[in-house]
Amino acid sequence: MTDQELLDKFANPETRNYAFNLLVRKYQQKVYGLIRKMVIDHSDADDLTQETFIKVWQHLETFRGDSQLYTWIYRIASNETFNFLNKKRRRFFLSLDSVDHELEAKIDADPLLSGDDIQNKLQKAILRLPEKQRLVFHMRYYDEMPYEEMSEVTGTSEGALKASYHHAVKKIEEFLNGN
Amino acid sequence: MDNKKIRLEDIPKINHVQTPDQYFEDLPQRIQARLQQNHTKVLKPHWTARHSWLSAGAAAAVAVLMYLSWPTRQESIGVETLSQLQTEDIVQYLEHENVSLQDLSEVEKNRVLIDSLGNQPLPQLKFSNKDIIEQLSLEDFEDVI
Repeated sequence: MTDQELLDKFANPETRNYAFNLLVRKYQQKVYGLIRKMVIDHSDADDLTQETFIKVWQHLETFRGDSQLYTWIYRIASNETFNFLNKKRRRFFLSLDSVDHELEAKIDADPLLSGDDIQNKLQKAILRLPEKQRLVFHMRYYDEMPYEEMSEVTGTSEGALKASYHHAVKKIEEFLNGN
Repeated sequence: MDNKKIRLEDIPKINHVQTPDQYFEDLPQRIQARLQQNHTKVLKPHWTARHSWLSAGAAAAVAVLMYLSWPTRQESIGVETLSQLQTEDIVQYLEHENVSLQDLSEVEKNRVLIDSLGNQPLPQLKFSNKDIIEQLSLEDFEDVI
């Protein structure tokens, strides 16, 4: 079912729940995957994914179609994730480095994260990136999202996103070769 | 010595994220359940005629109970409070309230007058004591007597 068909069904009170259920099934893996890569922990990612879709439900009627539906959902997911990470830092008076080290430790401890040494090293390298650059890297490297769509999600120009991704790759390779 | 540098493109791109079994099968239902929960929380009570009558009845019952218990509570509060006061404190309070010794003596005079009636019939009403006692017993005031 296309996004437009989903939106049409959502607009009809009789088929709203059905349409929303289909929408969640269509995008849940992408949304969860993006959030999980940012927060590492499954239960945090689970909460944030639910919060994201609850916000989608609450605001879908106001979606005007200026962007694609899934970039709009990604934008909500990334806002939820940044809010969560900021709150976490404020709650425990943690610096950026402390949060990143905590996430790094989770990579080693989480049985749901698979991968050999080089994959673990790559994940730790990604965690060294600033949060917004990390999001850019995930969207480009893992989700292979076009810069145009990334621009819709982040509200940043395509040029700035290209530069950010280029620097992110450079930093990651430096980390991989330096450790 | 191997000087080959690791490049990102040399690393196989794998999805390292795993989820518990059935996670994505159950997630839509869990989200729907949370939406229902939120919806229930913001539901406003809808009033019906039945609710209104029940509320009015409950309010009336509370009012009646308060009315019935009020004199008792006032009396008990008064007794408890006064019993804990020193005579000097009561005298000071009466002075503060401008109740003079003359007023108090008037009260005392009235009490003496009532006591002096003794077993005499009330002169104006022409009731004998016997009539009064009979009337009180009919009204179940034995405790007072």
